[in-house]
Amino acid sequence: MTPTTSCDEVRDALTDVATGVADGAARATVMAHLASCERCRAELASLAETADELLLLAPERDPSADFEGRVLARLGAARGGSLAPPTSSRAARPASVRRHRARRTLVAAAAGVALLAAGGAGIWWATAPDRQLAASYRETLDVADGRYFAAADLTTGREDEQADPASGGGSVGTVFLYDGEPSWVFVLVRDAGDVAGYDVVVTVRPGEDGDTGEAGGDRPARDIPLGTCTVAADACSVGGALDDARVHDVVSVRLVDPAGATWATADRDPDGS
Amino acid sequence: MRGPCPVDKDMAVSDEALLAGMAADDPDAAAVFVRRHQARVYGLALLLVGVPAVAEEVAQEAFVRAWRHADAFDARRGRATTWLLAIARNAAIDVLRVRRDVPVDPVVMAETIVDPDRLADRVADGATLDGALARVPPEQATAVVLSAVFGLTGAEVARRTGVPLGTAKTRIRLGLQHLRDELTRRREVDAP
Repeated sequence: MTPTTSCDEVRDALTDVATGVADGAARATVMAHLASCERCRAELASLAETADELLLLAPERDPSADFEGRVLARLGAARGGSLAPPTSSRAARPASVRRHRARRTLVAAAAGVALLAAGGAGIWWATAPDRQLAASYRETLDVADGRYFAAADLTTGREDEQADPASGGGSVGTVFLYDGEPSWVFVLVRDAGDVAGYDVVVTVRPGEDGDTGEAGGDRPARDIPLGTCTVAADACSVGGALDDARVHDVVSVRLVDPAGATWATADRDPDGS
Repeated sequence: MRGPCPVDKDMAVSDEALLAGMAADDPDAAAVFVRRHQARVYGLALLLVGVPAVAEEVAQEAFVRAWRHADAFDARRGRATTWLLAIARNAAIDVLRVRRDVPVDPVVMAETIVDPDRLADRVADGATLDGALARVPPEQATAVVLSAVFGLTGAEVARRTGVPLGTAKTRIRLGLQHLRDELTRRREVDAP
């Protein structure tokens, strides 16, 4: 696919993404370009690495006494209890689960199938090429402001069906999500088919309960209309803010065709959160 | 208070292992990680916000955010130190957005950082980065530091340094490219 924007057109925005000062619109523009420009992906990865390295220029300074103790107290409060000494298997078990997840991710990446990309508050999956796309600038976006960036594969089939890319129900595009203020979603469709456009609907679950990470119980999810993805040259893209919703509350992003049927979906990983 | 962690254990454990431990809520791993990085994180926070009490808040927040995202850290993408410092920088910028009463003038600080004499003095410690930065034209180096370290947009760099927007954007872009190329060149030379 040919990039919808030229490399020259995005070069300043690309620099802004690398230094971490890009706003949501600039990020969306850059991502749309990166989706089909390998050269700029590599450029951004190296520029972002350079920009982050500049942070090492700050002189080291010792904080006041017991800074460490106050940090540990905050960590304990943030997880809803004290950080007890790791005397039981409680501390060891989650580590093994996470390591297992990391291994599984590597295996999945090697196989080129849908895989997990770990985020702080939720887990999204993406196909290997899109994961590389996301990974190439994750240092800048992934943990930006303690928020995170995610890319999810947009498919016309169910997740389990497209584990084998040859079995149909394939990837038709990518959904990008950025958790910020506001959070936003950007949908990029590569193979849009023979229709005028799709209505994009973002389904979000009720907000989490404070800092505990507990889901909002059985309260119903709600739909946020993102807008219309108008097809031109077999491709389309649309983006928008989620207003008060957060990325980790997003359950799915659906593309609805003019007849009202869901044509493609990006789902939250059922394993996530 | 917990018992002291042996120094040799502190030094032996990699940042990656400590982050994995933090992700699993291991308080010992968190303690070692905080101890190892607190001077860098607090130093950056103090540089950005200028007030010790605020800087401590920012540094604490950075460690909390790092803990939240510990399992998202990918060692293949870069060092834990810069990953953590990027989090600290963003936490500091969040603070700066809501309170502009901090006594830091980013332009003065940036010009101090990229001052050729200062960079020359720092050759012994972190020679690669300081040496590479010394090779970037000062006005570009200042613009890059303002953007990458202090979080200023092109428009803000233009306003604060008194140049047109296009000039500011070009300085940031070229400066970052020059620095990247210079770092790459030096590492290739340094490589055995």
